[in-house]
Amino acid sequence: MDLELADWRADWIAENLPDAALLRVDLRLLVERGSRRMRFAFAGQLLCAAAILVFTAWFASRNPTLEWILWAAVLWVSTFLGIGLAIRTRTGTWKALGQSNAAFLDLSLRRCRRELRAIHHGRWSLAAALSIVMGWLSLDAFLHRLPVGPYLLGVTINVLIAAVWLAIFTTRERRANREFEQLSQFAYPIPE
Amino acid sequence: MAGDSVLRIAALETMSSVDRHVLSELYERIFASYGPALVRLTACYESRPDVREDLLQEILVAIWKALPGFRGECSEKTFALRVAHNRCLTHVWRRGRSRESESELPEVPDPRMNPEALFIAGRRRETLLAAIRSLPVNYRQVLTLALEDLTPAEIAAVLGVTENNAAVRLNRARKALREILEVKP
Repeated sequence: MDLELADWRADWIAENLPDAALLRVDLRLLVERGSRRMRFAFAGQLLCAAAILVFTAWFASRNPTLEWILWAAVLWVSTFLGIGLAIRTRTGTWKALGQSNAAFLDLSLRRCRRELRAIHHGRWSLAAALSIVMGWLSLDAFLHRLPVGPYLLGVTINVLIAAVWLAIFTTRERRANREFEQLSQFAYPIPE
Repeated sequence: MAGDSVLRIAALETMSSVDRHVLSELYERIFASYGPALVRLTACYESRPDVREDLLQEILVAIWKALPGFRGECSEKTFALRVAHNRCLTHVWRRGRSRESESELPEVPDPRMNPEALFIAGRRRETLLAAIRSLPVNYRQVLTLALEDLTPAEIAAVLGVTENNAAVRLNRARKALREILEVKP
């Protein structure tokens, strides 16, 4: 007999543990973590929006031509639309309607669905932004005979980063949504 | 991806109420049988009680989520402990990126960490836990499983390594633990 291991094992299991029957899944933690993530994401979006607004206003004031004022206006409108969308996406998903696992699961599902809808909007926003930028670049190149190569490279890199981010985010949210749906509809009752 | 999702949902739709009942029972049984083991396991990966409680909840949720995919290829104990260990590894990885991890989870065992004060207080279990927590993660894994009375074959199944590898790792872990516990300042 392995006395050393037996000795350690005796110490290992010596603790007075809570009754196993009291061990229950508590989805509160899941929801709280989601809330924390939402708060950070929202704060980040607000900070980015503020930076864009300040920078474009500053840039347009330094170069007060019609072109740059229009450019700043487009960015301001887009930024406010984006913030509006971010607020709308999160409306009603900050708190659970109850303190039960069912309510927490319901909230998690609602959050997932909202995020997926926001991603859908994000794809369209990306396409719209790309159209505007490409149109603008074409016009700029036509009017000023500027080399478009560096601009195109910059746009391509930005679009690629956005597309990869959207793809990763979509996969993550779809997986979470599928798990929550399976748990709430098909698997087995949530233990209370 | 979408096709896979549809297939999975379709498979679950065909699950009869009896199957759901079986799953519920299985879930209850796993909690009742291995709940204490899970609580002990979390103590080896987290010293702060509040964070430990969070980690335990993460494990319970992970088991709850993984249970519909459990096909009985291994024992319930192996299944529960494998899920738990994966969550604990994620926890260690997350903590490894946080500031406080450096002082609490040294990668190399430090014999000077032997808490004599805990011996004096007669808290042998706390001493053992502190010593295990000071071990590298791969040693901690095999030791906690061995202390839960798993055979090398079961340990190998939980960790996804060969039985030989598990046995070698366990021997090294025991030697490291012994050194820490035997050190007297």
